[in-house]
Amino acid sequence: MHETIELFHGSGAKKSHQLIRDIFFEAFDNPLLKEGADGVVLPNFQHELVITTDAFVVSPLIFQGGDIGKLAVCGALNDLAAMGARAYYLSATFILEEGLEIEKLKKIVQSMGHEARMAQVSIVAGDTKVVEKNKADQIYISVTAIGNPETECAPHPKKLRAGQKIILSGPLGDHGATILAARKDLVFEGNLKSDCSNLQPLILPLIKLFPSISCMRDPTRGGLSGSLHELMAVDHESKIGFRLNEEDLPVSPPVRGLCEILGLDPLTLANEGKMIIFCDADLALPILQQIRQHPLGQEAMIIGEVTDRPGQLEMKTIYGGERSLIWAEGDALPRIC
Amino acid sequence: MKYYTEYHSKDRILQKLEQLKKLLEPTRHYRFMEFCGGHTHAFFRYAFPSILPSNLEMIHGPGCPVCVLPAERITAVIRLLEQQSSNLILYSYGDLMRVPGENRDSLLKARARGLNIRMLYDPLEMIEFCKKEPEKIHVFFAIGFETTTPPTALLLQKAKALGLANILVYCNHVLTPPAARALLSDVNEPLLLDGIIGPGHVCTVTGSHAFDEIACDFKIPVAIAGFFPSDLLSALENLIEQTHAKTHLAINTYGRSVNESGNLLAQQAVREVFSRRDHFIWRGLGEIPFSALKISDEYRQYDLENKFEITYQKVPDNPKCLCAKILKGQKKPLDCSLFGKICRPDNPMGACMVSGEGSCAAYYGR
Repeated sequence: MHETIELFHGSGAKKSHQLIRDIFFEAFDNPLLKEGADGVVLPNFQHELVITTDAFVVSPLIFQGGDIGKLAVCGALNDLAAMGARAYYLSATFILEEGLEIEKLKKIVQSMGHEARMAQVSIVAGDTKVVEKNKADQIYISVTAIGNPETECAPHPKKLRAGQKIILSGPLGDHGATILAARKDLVFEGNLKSDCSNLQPLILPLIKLFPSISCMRDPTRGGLSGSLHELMAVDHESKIGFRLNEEDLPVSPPVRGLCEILGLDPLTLANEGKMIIFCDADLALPILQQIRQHPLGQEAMIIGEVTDRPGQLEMKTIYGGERSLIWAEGDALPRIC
Repeated sequence: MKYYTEYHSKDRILQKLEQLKKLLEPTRHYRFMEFCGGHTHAFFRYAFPSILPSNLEMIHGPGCPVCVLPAERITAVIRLLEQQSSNLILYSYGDLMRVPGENRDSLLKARARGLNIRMLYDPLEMIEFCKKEPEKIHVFFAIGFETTTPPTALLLQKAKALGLANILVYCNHVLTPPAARALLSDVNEPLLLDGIIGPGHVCTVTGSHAFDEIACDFKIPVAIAGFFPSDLLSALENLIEQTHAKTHLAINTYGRSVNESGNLLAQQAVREVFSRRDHFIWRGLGEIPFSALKISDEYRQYDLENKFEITYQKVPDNPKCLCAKILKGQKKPLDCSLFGKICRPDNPMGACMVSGEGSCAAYYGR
């Protein structure tokens, strides 16, 4: 019989303390966390801070290329990367479902600890709650990341201007396709693997070299199409749209195969290790060359440009046709025949 | 040709497009209908409307299964679920979830209200659910043309073999040839088509001969086609050639998937599990005789409509909605005053806006 999470683990009584000590303190191993106070004073911090927060509810918890723990750390770090900020500290909240195997929790928490150490960030605050069986799906994690900007002029959506180029750091849809295939037990030749990774090592040197990068966005939920629609929906000083070149959009063969079979569009599938970078046209090539030198950006492409047609996400197709991409309604619903 | 990349090769497609342009008589107008929603979707996905010559007009047919399902059949099953909420679990393909019924209610909204509705890709997934939750009755909302009918047949054959008593099918399967006939027989607003692109996946099951009679009776060329860009262009090429030669044959241009007699195993399963309905109401097209399937007497115990008293009350469409005429190919989405204003993919008024295979949704993303 596997040991499982019980309601007592969230009760604030002895069992809670044991769980926190044996699993979380062990995996996140750092002195600030172990101080055991209600909060933590962050030492040596510059006055300008960047903060982001993100929640993770992925199913299955463990998938090709990662798990919910790794995802939670990378997701928060990538949000800071998109702001051109170096992450220093994380806090994490766990909602656990009664009955979750403790071994599974341990594996996920250790994976978080590992990822944080690799990224040289500390998980310095946290909380754990347990809810009754069937009131949650095994484990939900919320992570807040805090860091400092690496550049004086942080990239921001308000800096988008018509004529700027759009660079994508690698192939589309790996994470979304992997999760979908895992959920449906679909086996694909060429092996789908989530792109879940920390982009700070790719992005921070880049923003140092090219501080005039105007905006960055990691295309997670909703994929590339969703992210670009979100950016258009931001209240801009200058009204903007986007135009993509289908021919230049990188998609791996297994993702394309899955999309063909299930009637999905790689542009709407989630990514967890990709960045969209917007920059002035004359910088596009030097930036592309720089990104491609990093293992996380070898397949980067210039995929399109910012236009002055507000709210229009246009695509020039491979065959020279024109179409627009609409903002997907909820989850991608596969065609039925 | 063997691989995806070959069927999508830019050079090949551009070359074929050039050939197609040369084939067309420049002063002549060509009107071809793609019957299948999958073809409508593909035409727009590859942005063909923006690159095909302007004298080649595509008319979009009714071949989107969720578009032709009358709203009352959705409302009726939601009502039944409400009455039997402690007993019934409904399973549906994803596309159906957002289709509006009465008062713009949908399976998705019903699920949010707490009714037990699950989305699936493969009806056979239900077998496990039936075993895991034996106290519940598991209902499959079966929908679709000849393509999705065999999986439903397989589900019931399997259920019978396993002796499962807690599974029912709500049968909404419809047939392509009777609908094509109904469209072509409309004398009030004749479509004046030069040819039809035949549904490739339907014919994979039925065989290409399913369209022989239609081609012959209505003296109209039919090109059965696949769904890749090169497939679409091959079919158009055939239709243009047939138009010029004044032939009216059903030609199979999708030989890698379709043969003359089709999938005999699937046909056998369908014959065993289903029989023809005398009549069925199609959204937009109205009542078409012998155009749909019901569960056969042999499988009667699995028929939801046999097990429960279901009443269908006509759900009126928005009076300005042109879906009916759009499904018949008589109007285009841009003719509709609701299109893009009130009726959008995030707020579909008519069925053609709901599914990615519906003409209006395809136009919206054009």
